[in-house]
Amino acid sequence: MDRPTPEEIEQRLHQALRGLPSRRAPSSLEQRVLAAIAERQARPWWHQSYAYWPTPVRLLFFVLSAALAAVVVGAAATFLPGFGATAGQPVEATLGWFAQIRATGSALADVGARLLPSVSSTWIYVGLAVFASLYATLIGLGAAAYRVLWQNR
Amino acid sequence: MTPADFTTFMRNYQDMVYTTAVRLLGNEAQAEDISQEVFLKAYERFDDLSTSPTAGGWLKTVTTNLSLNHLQRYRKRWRFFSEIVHQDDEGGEAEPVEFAAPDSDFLAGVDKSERRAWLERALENLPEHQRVPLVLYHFEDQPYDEIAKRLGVSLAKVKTDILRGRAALAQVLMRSGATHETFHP
Repeated sequence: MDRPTPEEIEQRLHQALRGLPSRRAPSSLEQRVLAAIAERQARPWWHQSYAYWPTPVRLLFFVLSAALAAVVVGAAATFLPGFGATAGQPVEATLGWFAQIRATGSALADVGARLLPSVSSTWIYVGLAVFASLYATLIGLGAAAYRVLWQNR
Repeated sequence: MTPADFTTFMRNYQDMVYTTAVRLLGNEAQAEDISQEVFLKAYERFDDLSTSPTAGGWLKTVTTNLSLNHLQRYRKRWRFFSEIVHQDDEGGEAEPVEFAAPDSDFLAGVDKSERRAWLERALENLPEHQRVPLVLYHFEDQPYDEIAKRLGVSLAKVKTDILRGRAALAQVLMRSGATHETFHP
């Protein structure tokens, strides 16, 4: 009996496989999907991602975030010495967001440049280690909280 | 958009989505999970999909991607905990394949519907590293190099695995045609 070549096997199997009819989806699939959609819709908006928040809430959130940023920059301008030409002036009187950001950046760089030479390398390493451990703790606590409070719901 | 619209949409495509997933995953429960995930993604974009002529293609692509991601995630997790790595799965250069070629009438002698059932079962029971590239090649029309890239293995391994998968399917079909023995998955 003739043995088919690999090419013949490929061709005939391809035809046979492509001739297979679709598998019927289980009848439970539709119910599962609809139930999951209903469950998502029943969730309050603050349990959903930002994209699903109501438009007024998103707008309010944006305004509040911008206000908070303005307060932080204004406080820095008021209380930090050597904040640049705008130090001590109210935020509204400055030349705008770009100038504020630039002034903040240069002030931070200035402070860093003054402080860094006077700090010993040991303190820098200690600071980095503390930062790394705090970061790891935050991630660990976040993961534990997710598993305990959310994943098993 | 009404729930009825989405239900109709889902009924039109659920067999295709489920079939794509189950052939890649070889597991009905996992395929149902993936199908659910696909339709939840479709629901998020239903305003666009409901009128799109390419909705079927979008669903198929998403199903394929989610199924492959699921398989890769599962494989990585299993390796992480077991610390066992099969050389065969690692994408090294594969050795030449030698197998007994089936007789030329390996697809003959079996009733058509019975043959389909055997073929579907045999496909489902292929090892994952043979089934997945074989399904991508024969059902999704993906070329060898794209499959290798997508699965992160060498081109030679993809070719060898597909060749072995075909040989295994042909042998199963030949056995089924010759003896009509009961197939135990």
